[in-house]
Amino acid sequence: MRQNVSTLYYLKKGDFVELHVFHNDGNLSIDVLQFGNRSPEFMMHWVGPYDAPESENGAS
Amino acid sequence: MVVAMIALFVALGGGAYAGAGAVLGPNTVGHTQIKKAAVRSSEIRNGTIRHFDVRNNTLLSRDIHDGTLEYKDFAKLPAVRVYKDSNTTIPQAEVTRLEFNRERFDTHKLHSDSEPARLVARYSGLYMITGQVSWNSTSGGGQRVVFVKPNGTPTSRRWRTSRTPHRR
Repeated sequence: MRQNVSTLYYLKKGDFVELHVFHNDGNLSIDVLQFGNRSPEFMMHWVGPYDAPESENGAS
Repeated sequence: MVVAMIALFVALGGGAYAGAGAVLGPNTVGHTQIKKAAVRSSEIRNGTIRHFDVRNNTLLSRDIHDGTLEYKDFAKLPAVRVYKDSNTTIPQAEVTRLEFNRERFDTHKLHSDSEPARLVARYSGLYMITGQVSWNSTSGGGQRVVFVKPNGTPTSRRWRTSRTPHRR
């Protein structure tokens, strides 16, 4: 089963993001699989300058 | 009278010579000595005008000819794509941070050296952020969630998430 998450954040210099996962799949531990060139993957690119209020970036 | 005439000729000749062949000393011409609109593109050596020679906010889009800017004229945009080359076991009911030990590319060292889970903004601005995972199949049901978490904040409904419905 594959899942994607994507968002657009305003980040200040030095801000960081992480990818977290969660499941409540019975009593089991389950794996995030290494799979080809798509799992697990995390990517980020700078789109452009933007002076947003901090409250807009989801960090608060 | 003859001497006076000779002196005059020498004086005039010398002055004329000085006018034709004079060499300006270093640092003797200031902006006040240059006529307006006298300096043209042909007077400027190629490659001599640098970014710090241009005052901030003075160049406008209308100052740039259509078709003159090419891909190579733009700075490389910060971008990173990382992955992990092995499976990660996720315990039941614990928010778990994924770590990444490989980089497909990283143009500006956005992937933290000390914290392999982190992508760090090296410049302020808007960032597009994407994560993707494949889970192994189980018959346990329940919900699976993927979060993008900024700046180590506590769990928040404001995190951007992908959430599956409870599976029965």
